Amino acid sequence: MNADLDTRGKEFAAAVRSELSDLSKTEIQELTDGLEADLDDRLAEEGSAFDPGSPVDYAAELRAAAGFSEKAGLRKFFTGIGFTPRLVAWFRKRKSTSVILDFGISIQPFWWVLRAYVAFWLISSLVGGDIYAWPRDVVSYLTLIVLVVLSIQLGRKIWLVGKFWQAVLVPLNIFAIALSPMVLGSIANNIAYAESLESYSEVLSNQVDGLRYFGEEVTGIKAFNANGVEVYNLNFTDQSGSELPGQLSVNAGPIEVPDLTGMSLNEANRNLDQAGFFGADVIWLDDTTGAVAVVVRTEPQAGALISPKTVVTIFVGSDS
Amino acid sequence: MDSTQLLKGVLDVAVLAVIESEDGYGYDIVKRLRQAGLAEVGDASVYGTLRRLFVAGAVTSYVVASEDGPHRKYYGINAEGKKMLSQQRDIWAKFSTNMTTLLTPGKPRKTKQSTTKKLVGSK
Repeated sequence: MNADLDTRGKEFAAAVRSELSDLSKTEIQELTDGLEADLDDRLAEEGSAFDPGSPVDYAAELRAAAGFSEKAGLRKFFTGIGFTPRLVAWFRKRKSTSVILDFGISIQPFWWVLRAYVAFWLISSLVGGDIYAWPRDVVSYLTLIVLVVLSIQLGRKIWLVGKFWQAVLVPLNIFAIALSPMVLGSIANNIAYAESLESYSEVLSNQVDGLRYFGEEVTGIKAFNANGVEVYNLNFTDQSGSELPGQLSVNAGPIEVPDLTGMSLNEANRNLDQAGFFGADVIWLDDTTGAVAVVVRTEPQAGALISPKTVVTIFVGSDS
Repeated sequence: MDSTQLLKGVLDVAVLAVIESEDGYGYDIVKRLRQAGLAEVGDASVYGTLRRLFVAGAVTSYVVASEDGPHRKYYGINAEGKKMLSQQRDIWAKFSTNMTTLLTPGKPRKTKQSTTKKLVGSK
């Protein structure tokens, strides 16, 4: 029990000393010498009710009572209240630097927007991973708007004008200044990247019906039936059932017009279909009612090599 | 009004007063102040004040080793401290009298009279 209490006093004293670490060794010793003994006394008196509170608060109280300033360091050094007026005073000393200061003041609003953008960039890079030059969705638009408004209100000294916030804002501003070139560079990169993407997708769209087989582009497809006879005019669909463009469905090379002479109209059509032609026009040569209609000739003639897209004209006459 | 705020201004003289008759170590001094009615006094405030008084040359300090535990640091008042204490006693006596007069209801006050005169004069 006693040993446990001893450690608590020791631990607390150590924590208090570390809070005072910015002071000199002698000062720390003068402030905390005998602290363990005092804590032990309190422990002995209060027993389990002993609660020295936060070592941070304790150290702050000790510091204040001993007449030391608040924990020195960055916060004090950067206290905006003292920092900015001194900087302004330095610029006001000479006319030349005064002109520079006035110019700087006139472009201040630009800086307010820029630093909001820097903050936006930082947040989106921390949260999203992918960084875009411009917000892509509602949430990021709102974030950017909020940041811009906040930054401007801060700049106009309307929000967070307390000493603490001013002290916090000075290092943040310096950080934003340091980040700005990087952010601007990244915007330029993003725009260039977006442009290259656009031109790339144009190239892609020109190759929309590209079909690949083991990495090689397939430029023509031929189909054969079980007998090894080439089959034409097939329709191809993709995995979702959408019909693929016509160019893909057949070998677009010239094919031979079959000899249809003497065939009935049905036979002739079937033959043309098999040959790979897309369609035919039929012209009736004379009145064939009552008689059996047969193909007399075709246009182009049988044996001609033509594109399957060409419409073949079939002349039908009576079989006499 | 928070008495801890008032205490801040008078802690020096309070600490000097409790060690005037007898030296004491940190927590001992805290206890004496509390026994004297200053219940809200904080340990750290007292230790800080002791250090400040030490730097100002108003108190001496010496370490006493303990057989079974950490050493204790004792503080005692010196000539400079006694001088300081007597000066502050005078200051306190005047100040407290003035404050008591000011805060006691029913008694005429200089400030009130001058305000009335001013108001009359401006008419």
